[in-house]
Amino acid sequence: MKLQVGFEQFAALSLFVFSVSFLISQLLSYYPTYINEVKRQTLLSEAYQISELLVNDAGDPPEWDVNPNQINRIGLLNQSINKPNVISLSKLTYVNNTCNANYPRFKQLLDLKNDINFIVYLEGNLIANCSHPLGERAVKISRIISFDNRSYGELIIWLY
Amino acid sequence: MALLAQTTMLEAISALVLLFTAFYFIFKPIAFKDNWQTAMLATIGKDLLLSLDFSDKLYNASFSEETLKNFLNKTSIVNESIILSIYPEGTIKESIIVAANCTQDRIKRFSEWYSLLVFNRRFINIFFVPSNLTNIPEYTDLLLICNYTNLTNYKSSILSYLSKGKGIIEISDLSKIDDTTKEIFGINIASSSQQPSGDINITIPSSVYSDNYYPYKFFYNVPLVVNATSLNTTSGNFIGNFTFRNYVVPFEIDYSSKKVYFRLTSTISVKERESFNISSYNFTLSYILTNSSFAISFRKVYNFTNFRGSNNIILTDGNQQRIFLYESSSNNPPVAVLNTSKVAWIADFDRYNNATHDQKLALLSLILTVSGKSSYYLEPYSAYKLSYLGVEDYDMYEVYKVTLRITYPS
Repeated sequence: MKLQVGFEQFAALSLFVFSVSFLISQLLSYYPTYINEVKRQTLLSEAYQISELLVNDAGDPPEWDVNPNQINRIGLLNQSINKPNVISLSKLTYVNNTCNANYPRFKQLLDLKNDINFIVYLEGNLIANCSHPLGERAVKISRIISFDNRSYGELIIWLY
Repeated sequence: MALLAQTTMLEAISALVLLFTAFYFIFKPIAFKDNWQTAMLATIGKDLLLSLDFSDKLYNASFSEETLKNFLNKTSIVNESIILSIYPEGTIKESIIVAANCTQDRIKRFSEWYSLLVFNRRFINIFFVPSNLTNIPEYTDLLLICNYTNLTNYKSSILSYLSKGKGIIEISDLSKIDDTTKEIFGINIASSSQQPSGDINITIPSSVYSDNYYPYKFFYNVPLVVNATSLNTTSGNFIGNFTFRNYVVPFEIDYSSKKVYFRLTSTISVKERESFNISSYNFTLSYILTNSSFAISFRKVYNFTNFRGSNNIILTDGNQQRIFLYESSSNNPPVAVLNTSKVAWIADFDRYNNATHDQKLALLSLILTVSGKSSYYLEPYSAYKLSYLGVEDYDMYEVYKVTLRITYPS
């Protein structure tokens, strides 16, 4: 009788321990996947927002390329043409130079906490490239854009 | 005792099964669902339309797959597995198929007149296929009836054809008329006849909703392609005659210097996109297409030499805005009449096989007016659709809607 009770107790205890272990292992395996997914979603949203800011906003002040010393925030939209996705080549040149020469300043002008790389093509030719070895690339956003000289191209952003 | 142990084991197994069933439902395989793929498609589509428009390639890309392909080849989209297509809507189709209830000889002549059409820097092909009035091919855009035919026995097939959004033109001289023709074209024969006198004028439409608005717009804006007929062996240039009213104006195309010489009493040298006038009538040389053809536009104010013939037509409803062409005489008898913008009658200007270029342009204006503007496109399953309105005005102001369809392969 005692043996029987002992076996039942042992079985119940084993079942309980096994269940709790399984529960904990599942929770532990789900956690990083969820965290990575949340991070990926956040990065994708931020990358899209940055691309919108660059492509469809002239910056502050809008004509900052005339006097880059007074710049508060960068945006590439040509404020004179003021049409969506039409970016200024002179602003792009300044942004490319700043990003390559003074990356922290570039990040500050975009108020970025994450690291960023970008490249710009004009009808298939690379005209701006600010790429740093930043490890595994997280998310990529590609935007088809027009330039103020009526040509077109592509802006590709990687956010880390 | 053995029974008690069996019961306990059964309980334990049941508990285990229930527990793992519960775990299965609680810890399903991880599958994250988001709409980023759709959002990316929407972003690519919007960016593409905006960039095509700003770089002045939207109009051509809408009609030419090659232009779109060339554009995409310079972007990274070409490397992505994306199915993408752009179609225009609400504008003249790139190919118009005319079901012609005419003799082979006339069909051949129509095909020669309208072998090629160009406007707003795009080419339009007009094809003529023989047809009877009982079984009008469904793939055609309009029906062209040559000479008067009693339509009483064909009423149902013609009304069925019209109900599909297609149009009908009759080019004929009417000495008698049946009830179906009266009803469809909205015309009747006048009780008193009047001899032709005076020129033929183009009615100025009172609004864009008038039936005669589109033929009026097309006549003054769509260039007519004029072909040379022979080679000048001395100069090596192609020559021919440009005909309007009673004028026969010899021309010579100097393709190397992109000029056309019109030789009337004196020689006029005209470059592409240049306006000029002959005997107080205004024209524009819209395109020099090849070494043997150019396209010419007629400008305001133009009137034709009388070609009414024996026709004495009146309108059944008195709506003057249905008249495209009328004789400038006491009763202003109509020479070309529309009905609801889908049906038109015009006096047979080619009754003696001597149609002039102005008359050919008048018929072309009617063809473009009544031909359907909707096309059928095969849509990829579950494609994301974006619409965009564009405007083109190289030759003629044309508002068109572009629909971009974009999807991933399924």
